[in-house]
Amino acid sequence: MITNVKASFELMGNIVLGFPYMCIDSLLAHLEFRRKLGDDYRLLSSKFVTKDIPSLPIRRTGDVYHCSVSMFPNETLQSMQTFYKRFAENCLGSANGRIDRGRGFFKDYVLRTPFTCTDRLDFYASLTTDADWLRELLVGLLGLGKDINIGFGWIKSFKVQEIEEDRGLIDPKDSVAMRPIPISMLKEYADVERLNYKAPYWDPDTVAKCAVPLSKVRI
Amino acid sequence: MCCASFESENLVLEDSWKEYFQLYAKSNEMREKIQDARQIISSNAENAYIAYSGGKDSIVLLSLASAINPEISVFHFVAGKYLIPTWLENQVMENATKIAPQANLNCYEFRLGNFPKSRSSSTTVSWYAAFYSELSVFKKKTGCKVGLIGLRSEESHKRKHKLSFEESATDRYPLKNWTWKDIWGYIISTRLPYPSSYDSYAELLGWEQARFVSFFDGEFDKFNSTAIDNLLMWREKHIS
Repeated sequence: MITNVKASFELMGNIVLGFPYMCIDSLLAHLEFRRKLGDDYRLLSSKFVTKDIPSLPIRRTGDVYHCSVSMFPNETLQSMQTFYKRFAENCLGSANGRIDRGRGFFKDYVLRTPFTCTDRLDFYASLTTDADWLRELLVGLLGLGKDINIGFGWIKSFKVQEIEEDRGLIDPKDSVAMRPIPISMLKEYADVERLNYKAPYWDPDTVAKCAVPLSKVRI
Repeated sequence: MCCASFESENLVLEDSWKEYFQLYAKSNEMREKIQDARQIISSNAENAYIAYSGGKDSIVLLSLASAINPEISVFHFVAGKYLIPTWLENQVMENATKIAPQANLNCYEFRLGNFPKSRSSSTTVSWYAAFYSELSVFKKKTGCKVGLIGLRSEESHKRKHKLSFEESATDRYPLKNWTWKDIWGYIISTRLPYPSSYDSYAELLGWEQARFVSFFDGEFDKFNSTAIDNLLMWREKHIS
């Protein structure tokens, strides 16, 4: 059973991304992991790191899921936001002794964060189950991107609709890569760069020469 | 539909900014600053060298100094491909050759910069140690005693404090009172070449904030610069 879907998010505010695009399959793996562990997920140490990514009911070619990266349907604008954090007495709590404002919990900072002005974000996937699996998974998602705790990337609503073609790996209409695809899987490619092509995307072991998303390819 | 929206290629200075900088370059204030800088350079031109990083300040300094002494010695420290991508380093070298074709350009390399470890903040100390060690070698080789450095007071409070005192016996700061508008005014009005990374960074940060520093460098993590590099220089994140 193959269900090709397009998921569209309507956002309440701007979004902060740590890379020009977001790899949605790792986000779905995170949500699936959270769902499987239930409340135990909250008991994990913040230092717990795993490379055992749960298998997802998404079509795969080799190691690569047919799940596109994030796409902005409209023209976007990038800008910067500066955050200031200064010492506040009400954060003092039970602290005693000398307080270092140069490091640690009480550190003061001025941080610049780039954000993308957009109110919509889409992605495409080819599921090996029905679309309800994705709908149920996304219900628990509050926001997209980084710095959600300060209001970036909050989701207003989302919609999962079934489509005819599989646009998770390659867009058949324009023959462009919809995600990083290792060039070993391709016959032709126009733009190549060393990129992470599978989760975990922070892991240097998942870096390979890949066709860049939205570049012309032939499989 | 778009996803990789931060492309550095094919960006050029907007016409409005170009016009603004060209007009600014005609101001009396800037003419005086150029005069002052030339005077400082002229009085030290005999045994001076230029510390050239490739950034906007050292470009201006190289242009001013080479007009006075075309064969001036230039010290350039190559940071390595993990900190400054090879294509950008090539631009830096080409710019130096175009601005001061007869200058005595001396390049020294930070060898660790060719390894991924160089992006860690723990190697910052090694970078500075290697820089000053090679500078000492360069000074012995060329016999230069005075360094012309493109530091400006406007850049940070630390630099303002440093430059507010009398100049040291070994260093001169001809651009110490220049602002970012002076620098870009000079570059644009005299059509000096500059690294293309400025265009993409200025588009996001503004021309007053765009700087030419090593990329993905742990030293600048406190400014969240890696987050910006991830967006603008994403092609350089996993170089081999």
